Parts: sequence; structure tokens; C-alpha cells
Amino acid sequence: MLGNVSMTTGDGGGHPLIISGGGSIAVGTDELFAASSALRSVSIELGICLRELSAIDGLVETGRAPRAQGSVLLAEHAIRDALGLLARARNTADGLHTALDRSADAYGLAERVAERLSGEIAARIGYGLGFFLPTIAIGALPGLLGLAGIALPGVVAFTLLPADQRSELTAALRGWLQENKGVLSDPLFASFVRHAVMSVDDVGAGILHAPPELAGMLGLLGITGVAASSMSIVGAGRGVGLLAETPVRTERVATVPLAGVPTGWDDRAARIPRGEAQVRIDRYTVGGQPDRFEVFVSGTKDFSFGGGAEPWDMTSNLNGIASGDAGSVRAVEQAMAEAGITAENPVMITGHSQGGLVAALVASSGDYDVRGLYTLGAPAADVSVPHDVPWIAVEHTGDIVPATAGEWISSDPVLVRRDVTGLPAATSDQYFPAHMLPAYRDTAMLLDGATEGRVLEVHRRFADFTETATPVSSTTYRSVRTTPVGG
Amino acid sequence: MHTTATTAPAGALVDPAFLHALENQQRRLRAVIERVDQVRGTVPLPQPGIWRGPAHSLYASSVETLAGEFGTIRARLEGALAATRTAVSIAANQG
Repeated sequence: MLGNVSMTTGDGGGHPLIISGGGSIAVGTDELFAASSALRSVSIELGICLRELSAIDGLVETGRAPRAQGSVLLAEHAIRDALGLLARARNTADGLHTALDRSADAYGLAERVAERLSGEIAARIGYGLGFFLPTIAIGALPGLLGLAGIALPGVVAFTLLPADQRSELTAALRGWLQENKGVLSDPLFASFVRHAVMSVDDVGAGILHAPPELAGMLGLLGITGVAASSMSIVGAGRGVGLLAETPVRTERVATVPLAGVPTGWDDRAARIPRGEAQVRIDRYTVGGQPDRFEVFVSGTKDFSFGGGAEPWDMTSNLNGIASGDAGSVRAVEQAMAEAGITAENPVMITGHSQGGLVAALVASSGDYDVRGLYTLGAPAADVSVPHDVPWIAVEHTGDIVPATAGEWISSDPVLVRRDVTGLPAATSDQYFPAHMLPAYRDTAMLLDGATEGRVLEVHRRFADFTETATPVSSTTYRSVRTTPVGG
Repeated sequence: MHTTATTAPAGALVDPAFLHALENQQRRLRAVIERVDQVRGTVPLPQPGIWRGPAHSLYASSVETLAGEFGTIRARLEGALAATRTAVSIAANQG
């Protein structure tokens, strides 16, 4: 919503890009910002026409040609009329672009207030639930504990079941997910997950009968929050042999000559590995400077909580959110070291899903010269990345994965959100179609045509990175856990 | 500015500086008209369905008014250009 205006379309189907963040309070669609920018240009251009016409107005002295005086006067009157009309048109264009900008600011403020109110309401409900928990059925708790909180007790119980009952339950769960995938990709459900995740601490404060203000203060101090909640889940999981991080080993899969530099957001998303390899590193040379690199990191490949050799698993997801010490993060660092990347080499990092979380964690480490970050559907809202790192974070409003990291509090990327409900790219057989890379590539294509100022500025920084660079090679890496989680 | 008078075909004196000023005005008016046409092409006309609601109606009608004003501006500039052209013709032939 923009004030009392419903924002729709942009791609002909009611799926506009909603842009916010990046150091500004303004929120709106790309079309809104493009219209504002165009009207600003119209105003400037009309100002130039006005100045030129004013200069023309003084060129001819009527008294110097008695016989031509009538025509000269006629021209002069017409010029003065045109001057008045041009000034009026410039004022109209000026007023329109100012109104659009103020609408975007007002929308941004309204959204912040609404988010804060929703958060406070969720926190109070969570606190109340925790406070009265002894007298409330335990079964009501999972709904407020967020996806991760829901998952762990279920996983623990699941691992304790006999094999035949596990397969029956797996089949039933698949059927349930298939039947309910529409609900799971509903923006309202994702919003519920986001608020539930942010309220886990309040449930805990309620259980302990601690003053509600104390819970809020601890959250502000960073003592509690999404990371602390994830840490609790990881701790609980380790108690039953799950979610404990293990060493990883990363090896080069293949190196091929690099054909060209990325042409835009979709081209970058297309370079994220989708096969066995989890990491791709492209090398560029720039005359007289250290080599520069683009790192592409794939999303979660194994959704189990333990037992496998895949570092891109739920153990890495939860440990990444909790502490940053995830197997997938260490794997990317190993790949970067193998590629020869040190703190001296400029780096751009792109990642989808867990790959985006890893990208943000690598950027936040301060160990590398990260010049830009591009994440798609990443649960990275709680990662603190320096604000001078240009960052485009793309999220689908119906994608619960980024919602599991809560609200964007620690960082301020240019946040591009989009509701992809009903789009062909988001109606696959997958359980979470809004989270899948094809759906995000559809949005990346739209982003390539975006003309909003903040998006253009980050795009310029990305384009500058490779403008004078010569593509050299592209290397893929595969990583495995040397000891399986829980093994 | 001091100018040198020359003889027009009809025998009257022509002030070259005045004629030059008129020709200059004619050329620059033509350039302004071209620029206004270019600006008119960049006005973001609201496409049907971009936004809905009262604010959209207000925005759309304002932008349409703005686009309409370009027609009037152009007509006035064309009028100025035509009058200047006539003045050039008179000045060149009769002074």
C-alpha cells in the first residue's frame, strides 16, 4: 500500500518490486520511483527551456524596424505566453515528483510503524503465553516458536521412531506439504513466521516471569534475539546428537576459461552453482592491481538435521544464524583460500538461500575486501554487515526462509521485496516454490530493468567492479563434512 | 552596437544587426521547440492498472494535464516562430 493507493503490476501481472532500505526511509514500487525520477527530469528540462526562452525574449528590439514591428510584437507576446506556460508546467512536474517522493516516505514510515506494532503485539502475546505456560497446553507453544523451534522437537521425536513408522510419517508429511504448499508460500504465513521468530525470547521471558521490559532491553543489547534463539535450538539439538558442527574438506571440481563478465542481476543469479558443486569462483585481472574475484554460493542442498556429509545442511543453516560458525561458511573460506583470495583481493559475493547467509557472514567477518553483496531469499537479516558494503537483498514476501531470520535490524541493504504468488516461475512442484532459484531469477530479470535510484547506485558499483577487468577463469568447488553431523 | 546599413531590394535600408537578431531568435526558437518536444516524450504517462484508488486518479489527471500543457506551449512557440519568420522576411526586404 502507498498511503491509500494499492500498488500493483509493473510486469503486467500484479507483481511489482517493492524497494526499501539502503539508508532511506522511502518504500515504494520501482514504477513509482521511476515516475518520480522522470518527472524530476521533466522539471529540470523545462527549467532549461525557460532560461533559453527568457534569453530569446531579449534578443530583438521592436523599435528598430517600424514595418516589422507588428510581427516582432506578435512574436514577443507569444514568447511571453510560452514563458508563463512553461513555468506552470515546470511547477506541475515539480509538485508531482515531490508528491510521489513524499508518498514513498509516508509509506516507509507507515510500514515501520506497522512492523513495530506487529512486533510489539507478537512480543506481548509471546510473553503472555510464556507467563501462563504452566496452565496452557504445551501443544499451543510451537505456533509461536517459529519454524526452527517447531522443527527441532519434531526432528528429535522423528529420529526416535522405528524405520517403518518413519517412512509412513515421511510420506504423510510430503502429502501434507504438497496439499498445503499454497499456505506455506502465503505472504501472511511468512509474516507470521517472521514475527514468531522475533518473539521467541519473549516467550522465554514469560516462562521465567521476568519483567517484559527486561526482555526488550536484553534484545536491544543483543543479549537475546534471533541469534540467541538459534543458539538455544542448536544447544538443544546437540544434546540429542544433532546440529553439532563438524570439520569440512573443500576440493576444486573444475576450472574453465571465463567467457565474460556478468551482465546484470539475472546473469549473476544464473552463475550460482546448481549441481554437485556448492561454490563457484570467477577470477578477473585488472592491470597493475591485485586480481579480483566474484564468489557464487548455492543454497541448502540437504534439509536433514544430521547424518550426512553435505555441509549445505540444516546444521549449517542454524549454526550460521546462531554464531556464524557453519560448515558451509568454512567451506567457502577454504574455497576462497584455494582460489588465492586474501584480504588484498577485491571480492563480490552472490548467494541464494543459505548461500546468501554465507555470503553475508563472509562479508561481516572483516577478513576480506568485500566490495558488494547480492543475496536472494537469504535468512541474513540478523547478520551485521558494514553499511558501506553495497548490498542488494531480494526477498519474496511468500518465502518463509528469509522470514526465519526475523526483521532487518542489524544491516541496511537495499531490500527488494516482491509477491510472486501465482507466477509461473513460482508454481513448481516444490514445497516452497517462492523460495526456489527460478522464481528468484524471474525477479532478478525484473530488477535488471529497475530504474529506482538506490538500485541503480548498487548496480553501478557492481558494474564498476568488472568494467576494466579481464575475465580469466571460473572454478567450481565441492565440499564435504569429513565427519557427519551426529556421527 | 554599431551596424552598417545595406540596401534592400525595395531600396530601403536594412539594419544587419536587427536582421541577425531576428534570424538568431528564429533559430533558437526552433531549437526550443525541438527540446520541448523531447521533454514531452519523457512525461511518464500513467498506464492503466499501475495504481488503483483515488490517489491514482489524482495523479493520472495531473499528469494528463501536464501532458496537455505541452500542446499549448508548442502552439505558442510555433506562433512566436511564425511571427519571427514574417518579421525576418519584412526586415530583409523592406527594413
